[in-house]
Amino acid sequence: MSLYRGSLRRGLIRLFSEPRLSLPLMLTLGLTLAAVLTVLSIAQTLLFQPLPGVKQEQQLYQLDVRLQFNDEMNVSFLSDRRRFAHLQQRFAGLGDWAQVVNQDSQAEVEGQQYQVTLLNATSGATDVIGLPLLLGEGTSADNAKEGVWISASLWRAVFGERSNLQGETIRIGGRDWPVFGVLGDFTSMDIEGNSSLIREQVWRFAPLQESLLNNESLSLGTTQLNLLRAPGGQVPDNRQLEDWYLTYLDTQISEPRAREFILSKPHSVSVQSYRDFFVGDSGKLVSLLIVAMVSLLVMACLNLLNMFIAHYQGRSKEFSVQLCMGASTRRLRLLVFLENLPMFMLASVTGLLGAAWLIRVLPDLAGDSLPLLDKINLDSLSLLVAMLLVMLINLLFASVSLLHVQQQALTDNLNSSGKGTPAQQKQGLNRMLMVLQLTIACTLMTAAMTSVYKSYQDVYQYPGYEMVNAYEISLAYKDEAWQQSLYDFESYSGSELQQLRSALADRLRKLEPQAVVDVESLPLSQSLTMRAYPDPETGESRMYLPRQWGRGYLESFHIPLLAGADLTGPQNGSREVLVDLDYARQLEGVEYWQNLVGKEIKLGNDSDDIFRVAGIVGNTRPVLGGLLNSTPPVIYFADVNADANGSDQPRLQMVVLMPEGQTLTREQLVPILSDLDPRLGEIGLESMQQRWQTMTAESRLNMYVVLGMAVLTLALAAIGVSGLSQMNAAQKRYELAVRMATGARQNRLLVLLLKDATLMLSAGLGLGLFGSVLGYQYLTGLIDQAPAFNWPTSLLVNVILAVTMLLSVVLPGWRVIRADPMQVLREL
Amino acid sequence: MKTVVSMQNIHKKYQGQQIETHALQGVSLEIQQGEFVAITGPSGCGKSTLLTIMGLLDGASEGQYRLAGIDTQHLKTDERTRIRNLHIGYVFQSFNLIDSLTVFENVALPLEHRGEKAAVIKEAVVEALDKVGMRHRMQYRPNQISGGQQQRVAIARALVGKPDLILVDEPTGNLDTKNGDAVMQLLLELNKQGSTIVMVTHDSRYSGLAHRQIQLLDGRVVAEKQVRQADREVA
Ligand SMILES: Nc1ncnc2c1ncn2[C@@H]1O[C@H](COP(=O)(O)OP(=O)(O)OP(=O)(O)O)[C@@H](O)[C@H]1O
Ligand SMILES: [Mg+2]
Repeated sequence: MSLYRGSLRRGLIRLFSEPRLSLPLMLTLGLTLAAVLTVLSIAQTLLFQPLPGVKQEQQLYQLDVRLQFNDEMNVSFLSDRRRFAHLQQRFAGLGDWAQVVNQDSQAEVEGQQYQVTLLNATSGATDVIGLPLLLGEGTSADNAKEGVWISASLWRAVFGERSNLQGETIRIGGRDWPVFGVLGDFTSMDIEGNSSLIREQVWRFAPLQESLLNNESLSLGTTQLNLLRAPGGQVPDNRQLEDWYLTYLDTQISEPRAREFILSKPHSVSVQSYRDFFVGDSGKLVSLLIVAMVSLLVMACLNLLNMFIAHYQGRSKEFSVQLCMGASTRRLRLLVFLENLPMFMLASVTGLLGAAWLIRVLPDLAGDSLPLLDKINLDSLSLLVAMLLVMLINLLFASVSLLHVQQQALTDNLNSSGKGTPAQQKQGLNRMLMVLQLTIACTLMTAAMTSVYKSYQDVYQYPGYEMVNAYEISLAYKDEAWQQSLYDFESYSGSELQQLRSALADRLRKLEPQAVVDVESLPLSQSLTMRAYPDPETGESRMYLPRQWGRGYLESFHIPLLAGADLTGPQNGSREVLVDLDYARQLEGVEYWQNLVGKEIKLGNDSDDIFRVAGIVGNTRPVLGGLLNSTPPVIYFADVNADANGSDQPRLQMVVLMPEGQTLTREQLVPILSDLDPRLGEIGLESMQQRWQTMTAESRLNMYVVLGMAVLTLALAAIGVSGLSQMNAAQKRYELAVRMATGARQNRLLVLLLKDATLMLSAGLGLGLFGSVLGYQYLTGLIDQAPAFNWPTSLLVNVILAVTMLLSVVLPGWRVIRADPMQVLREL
Repeated sequence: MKTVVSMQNIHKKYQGQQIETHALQGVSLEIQQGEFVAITGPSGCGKSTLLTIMGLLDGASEGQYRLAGIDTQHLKTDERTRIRNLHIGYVFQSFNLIDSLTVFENVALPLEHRGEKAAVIKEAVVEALDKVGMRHRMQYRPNQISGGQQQRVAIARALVGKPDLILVDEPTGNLDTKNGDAVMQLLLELNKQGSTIVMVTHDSRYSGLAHRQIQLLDGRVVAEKQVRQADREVA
C-alpha cells in the first residue's frame, strides 16, 4: 500500500540523492555480476550447448592410447593410422570409426594463396562426425583419395559459393587436387600446441583399412581425433583397449629395441565421450573461474553489506520507531527490500550489459583457448540467474541491515538523544565481514599472483639468447618431387640443396645484412622436433632436441660457448656436435660437465649415430609463453642431414641478421629472391620480434587479465576497509572531539584508530594466509598445469594487502581527524 | 471498570558487561480504564524502564504483566508488535519522528502497519492532527517544525490508532513552559475523551493534574496517592 509505494519511490529518488550508496552498489555489484554471468554463460555453453557440426554427440567417443615421455610431453600411440586401423578391426562390430588429423597449410587457387587447415581423415569420417555435406559427393566415395573437399568458409572465400565446381582444383603440397565437394565448417575440434583450426579447411580422405597395408612406422605423434560412433552405446573399456595395445606391440612391432623403448614409457588409455574430450581442461578452468568470480562477487557483497549496515545503523532510530508503531520485522525487511529495489535493478542491468559486452570481446581475450566461443551468449537463463541472484542479495541485505534493529536494542535506540550515532552500536558484524573479506582477498590474490608470476617467467625470463634484429626468410616449394629429391640427396657436400642454400645466402647478402646464418630457423622456434634414443650404456631412454648449427649462429644470438670450441663448418664432414649445458650435466654430472668436451656420444645404435662433442654452450629455451615448460637438452648439428629438422622441411628457410634499427620488408626481398629458382614460390618473412609477440601473446594477455583481477580484488578490499574505517572514525567523532578538546594531539588520535584496525587486519591476513595455502593446495590438485605454490609470492601478497589496508585505515581516519572534529561538540 | 494494566512483582535487570543494574525491584500496580496516572521519582529510579515494559518495548526479567487482560509474558516478538500496534500509543521524550516522512506519514504509521485502507487512514490522521492542532502542517517534515509542534505530532501519532493506553515519557522535558502547558492541556483533553494515560514526569505541577501519582524510588513503588478532584480543577 502507500507505505510500500513510498518506499519504492524513496528508493528511486535515492538513486540520485545518495550517490555514495547507489554508485558503488551499481559499479561493484554490476561489474562483478557481469563477470559471474559471463563465466556462467561460458560454463553453460561448454556443458550444454550442442557441439556444432556434430550429430548425436552422445554416441560419439574419442579413444586414445598415450605414452608419457616426460612431465611435459605425451604423445599418441594411435597417431600412426595403421594402428588405428588395427584397433578398428579388433572392435569393428561396435560402430563406425574415423580418424582426423589437422595440419596448418597453404592452398593455392589461380595464383592466390590461402591459409588453410588441412584435415587428413579416413574415408567417411565426416559422416561419422555428422558434419553436413553441402555440395558434391559423399566423403566415403571410392575415389575419395583422388580429390579434396573444402569447407563452406573456403568455398565462400575462393569460389564465392558457386555451386558448379566441376573442373575446379586446389593446389596443396605442390599438387593440384580436384574439388569433390563442400562440407560444413568443422569447429568442434580441440587443437593442441602451435597449430590452429581455422574455418578455411581442406579435407583429404583415404580408406582406413588401406593403411593396414603399410609397414608399422615406429613413429609417434600428437593429438588427433580417433572417433568411434557407437549407436548401441557399447564402447571398448580401458582394459580392452589396454589388451589391444599390448597385443599390438607383441604382434606388430617386430623390432625388439623399438618395442622395449615403447614399453619403457608409461602409457595411459582413455575412452571418453566426445564432449568430455572436446571440453577437456577448459571445463576445469571454467569451474575455477566460477569460483574466482563468485569469490569476487562475495567480496563485493561484503563491501556493500558493510556500507549498507553503516547506512541503516544511521537510520536505526527510524526503524525502531517503525517497530514501536507496530511494524513487524518482516514488514520492515520488505520496506527495506523495496527501498533498495531500484538500486539493485540498476545494478543487475549494469551486470547484464557488462556481461553482454564481455561476451562480445571474449574471442579477442581468450583467443583459441576456449572452445565453442562463438556459441556463448546471454540467454534467458542467465537473465533469470542475474535477477534471482540480485533479488537474493537484496533480501539478504535487507535482513542483515536490520539485524541491529532488534527488540532488545529498541529502547536504547529510542531513548538515545537524536544527535550523533548511538555509542552502543555494535561493530562486531562489520568486523567479522571484514575479516572474511580479507581472507577471500588474500586467497584470491595469492592464486592470481602465483599465476601472474608464472606467466611473467614464461614470457620474460632470459631464454639463453638475445632477441636480436633477426629474420627468418622462407620460400615455398612449388614442386613436390623436386623438394623430395633435394632432401634425399642433401648429405652429399655440394649437393643441389647446398648449392641452392648458398645461392640464397648470396642473394641475401645483397641486403647488406649484419650476417646471414645458414640455418633453417631462429633459436625462438615455432615448431620443434624432439628425438629419443636408448642410452647405449644404461638402456634408459634419453631425449634431445636436435638443432641446426650454422656459421655465426652462436655469435649472432649471443649464445655463450662455455667449454671446448665452436664447430668449424659443415664442409669438413666430421661428425662433430655442440651440446648444451643441460645435456653435458646429464651425462657427466652437475660438476664435471666440462669433461664431455672431446668425448663421443652415441645417439642410437648405428655407426652414424656416433658424434664427437666439440663444445658446450649455454642452455636455451626455444619456446616461450608456457607452451612447453621444459624442453629436452639441445644438440647442435653442423650437417643438415645429420639429425636436424632435415628431411621434411616444407619450405626453404634461412636466417638473416639485420643491422640495429633496420627493418626488413617483403618488398625488399621480392626483387632479390623472385628469380632464385622457378620451382620456388611464395616468399615468407618473420622477424624474431614478431615471433616473440605472437608466441607470448596468450601468456601476456593471461598475465594482464589475471593481474587485473588481482588489482580488482585489492581495490575491493581497500574500498571495503577504507569504508569501514571511515565509518568507524565518523562514529568515534564525538570521542575524538572530546579527546582533542582535552588536549590530545592529532597523531595520538590516529594511533587510537589504528590500534583498533590492527587487530582486525592481522586476523584477516592471518586467516587469509592460512586460507590461501589450503585453497592453493586444493587448486593444484584440481588442475595439473597450476603453477607451484611459492611462499615469497604469498608473503608478498600479504605485505601488499597489509600496506594497502593500513593506508585504507589511516587515510579516511586522518581525513576525519583533520576535518575539525570539534565541530561535533558545537553541534550538540 | 476495566483494568488496562495489571503488574505483579515486576523486576528488571540490565545486564551490563561488568555490572548488573537492578532497575525495577518488584513493582506491582493496576491502572483502570480512563485513568490518568503520573509516575514520578528522582532521576535513575526506573521510571522510563517501567514505561518501556508497560509499552511492551522491553520485557520484564521477572513478574507478571497483563495488558488489557492479555498475559504478555510468553508472547512472541510479532505478537507483542501486534498488541503494541493495537493497544498502545507511545510518546517519547525525544519525539522520535522519522525525518524522511512528512507529518502526515508519521502520524499514519500505526494505521499503515495495521493494514487499514487509505481512506480510513486519511480520515483518522486528519482527525488526530486536528485534535493536536497540527492539521495545517500535514505536509511538513519533522525538521521543518518546532519542538513543541513535534511533540504534538508525536502525540497525534500515539492517539491516531485509538489505543487503550497512551504512554508518555517526559512529554514536557524538552519544551519551554508555554509549550509544555499546551501539551499537558492536550493530554488532559484526551483523557477526558476517554483515553487511559500513563505519564512519566519530574514536574510536580504536571503530576498534580493526574488522577493518581505513583512515586518510584530505586526501582520500587514507595508511595501512591489519589489527587483530589478539586486540586485538579484548580490547576
Ligand atoms: N540499557 C540499560 N542498560 C543498563 N542499565 C540501564 C539501561 N537503561 C537504564 N539503566 C539503568 O536503570 C536504572 C533506571 O533507569 P531509567 O532510565 O528507568 O531511569 P529514569 O527513572 O527514567 O531516570 P530519568 O528520570 O533520569 O530519566 C538506571 O540506574 C540506569 O542506569
Ligand atoms: Mg527516563
